Amino acid sequence: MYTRIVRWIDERLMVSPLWRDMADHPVPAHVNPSERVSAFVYCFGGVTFLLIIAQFVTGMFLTMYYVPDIINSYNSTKYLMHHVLFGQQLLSMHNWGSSLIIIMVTLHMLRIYWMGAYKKPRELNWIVGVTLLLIVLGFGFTGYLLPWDEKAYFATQVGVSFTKYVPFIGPALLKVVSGGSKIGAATLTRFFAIHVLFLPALLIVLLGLHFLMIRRQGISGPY
Amino acid sequence: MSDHEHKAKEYQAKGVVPFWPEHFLKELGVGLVAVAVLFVFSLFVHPILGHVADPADWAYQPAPDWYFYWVQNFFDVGGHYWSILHLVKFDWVLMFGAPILGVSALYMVPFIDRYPERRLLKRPLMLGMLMFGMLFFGYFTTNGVYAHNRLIIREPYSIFATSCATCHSIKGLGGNNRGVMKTPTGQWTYPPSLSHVGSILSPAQIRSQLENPQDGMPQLNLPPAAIKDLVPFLAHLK
Ligand code: HEC
Ligand code: HEM
Repeated sequence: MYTRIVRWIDERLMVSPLWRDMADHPVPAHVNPSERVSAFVYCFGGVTFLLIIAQFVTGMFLTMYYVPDIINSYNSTKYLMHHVLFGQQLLSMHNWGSSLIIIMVTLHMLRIYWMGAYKKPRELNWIVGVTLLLIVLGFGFTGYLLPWDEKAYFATQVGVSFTKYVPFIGPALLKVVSGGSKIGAATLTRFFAIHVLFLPALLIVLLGLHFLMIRRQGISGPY
Repeated sequence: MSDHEHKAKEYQAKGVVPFWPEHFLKELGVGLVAVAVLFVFSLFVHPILGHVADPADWAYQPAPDWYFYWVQNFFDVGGHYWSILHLVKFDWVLMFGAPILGVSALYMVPFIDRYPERRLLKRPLMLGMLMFGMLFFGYFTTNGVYAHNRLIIREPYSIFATSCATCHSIKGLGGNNRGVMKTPTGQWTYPPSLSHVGSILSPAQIRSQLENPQDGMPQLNLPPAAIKDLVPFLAHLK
């Protein structure tokens, strides 16, 4: 039955070769943690990816309760924390997940740097990687505002104020980022959209590029 | 021999494993440990939701998430020296130039590193950059945490100095020296010394005096962060 379904789909779409290419590509012994325990350093990227998936899932559930306006964002967060079954845990996982992702990305980057894994032909993947890092930090910054408590408000005020130092376009940029002359309702909706729509889209595209390049170039060899 | 067995032999001979399922499942195993840690942690340690945002709250001292402490502290410290050096006109060099330089350097790493060797010890410049980076983050993060804590500790004193010391004294500091003052309701009273207020009033009574001042004390419309800082501070004055 299974084979017949696969064959039926393959007659139309030919997905098997794509799958076989990914499934069968050989993983060398030096990155295999059961061959050499020290190979666990090669897992940092994959762990980051899994944590990002977890972050997507918890984020989607949070969005079921969160209301992005200046009156309800605080109240809906409070409601989620105190009246929704496992709401507190959900928020905690999303909150600590962000920290854990930062830690894992840093470890992953250190592995790449330490081993010189960005050397030819992998320079472009380092560049994609740094962009991924900036996106992850962008998630952290925009997400911090969403609960709309005092910490969120004033930390964002400090963070956003840095844009005014950009030569020539600084003041205009400050207005664009905060959606007005100060942090307010427009900033919140803006940050919400960036946090849940713009950045995830960018992240997915760049992760796609990252993985495509890894598949193309293979993992870097031992020294 | 089937195609599949053929491939398995070939992989075995080379000492490699296929990505699926052998490698994927191992990697997933490591990843699930991380997710499990996250899950267990989230059962016991919860983030705190503070008071609702109030743009008028001048007493609130914001802190960024831990991984941004170094950014804030770098610019605080940098800005301090910048003004000592009379470079305020060139603020943008520090506030825009420095981050751009840092991010560019990070992007350019593969092109800065021209060593043919991959071992870090054989790439002294890269080792140096790594050390510099780690010291940089380490220093400004700890310094940032320290500076923030100091600010939090000093906060009640500075609120007292700016908002209360014109009338009240604490242990002889501040206070209305002539003693007697005219209240908004036209009576003459003495703003009491707060040196021992903690043994006269309970924290709840202090809080209510600050939120709804009684008798001679004017309504100061203190923001919630100021009240939150002042109540434990005053309650400790025994
Ligand atoms: C304009 C002068 C004025 C200012 C400013 C002022 N107070 Fe008062 N405060 C008074 C007076 C007068 C009283 C005495 C009221 C009464 O007779 O019960 C008082 C009473 C109090 C009491 C009760 C003391 C007791 O022993 O019963 C506390 C606590 C207090 N003030 C705290 C503060 C704090 C904290 C601030 C600064 C945020 C502050 N006050 C600012 C005038 C002032
Ligand atoms: C969003 C975060 C990221 C994810 C999910 C991710 C994921 C991965 C994965 C799964 C690998 C395979 C090897 C491994 O796991 O170590 C990898 C390799 C690589 N990553 Fe990342 N990465 C991320 C961020 C970064 C960053 C910030 C950099 C560098 C600035 C980077 C640079 C690289 C390079 C150069 C490789 C190839 C390594 C080699 O061939 O040995 N990545 N990444």
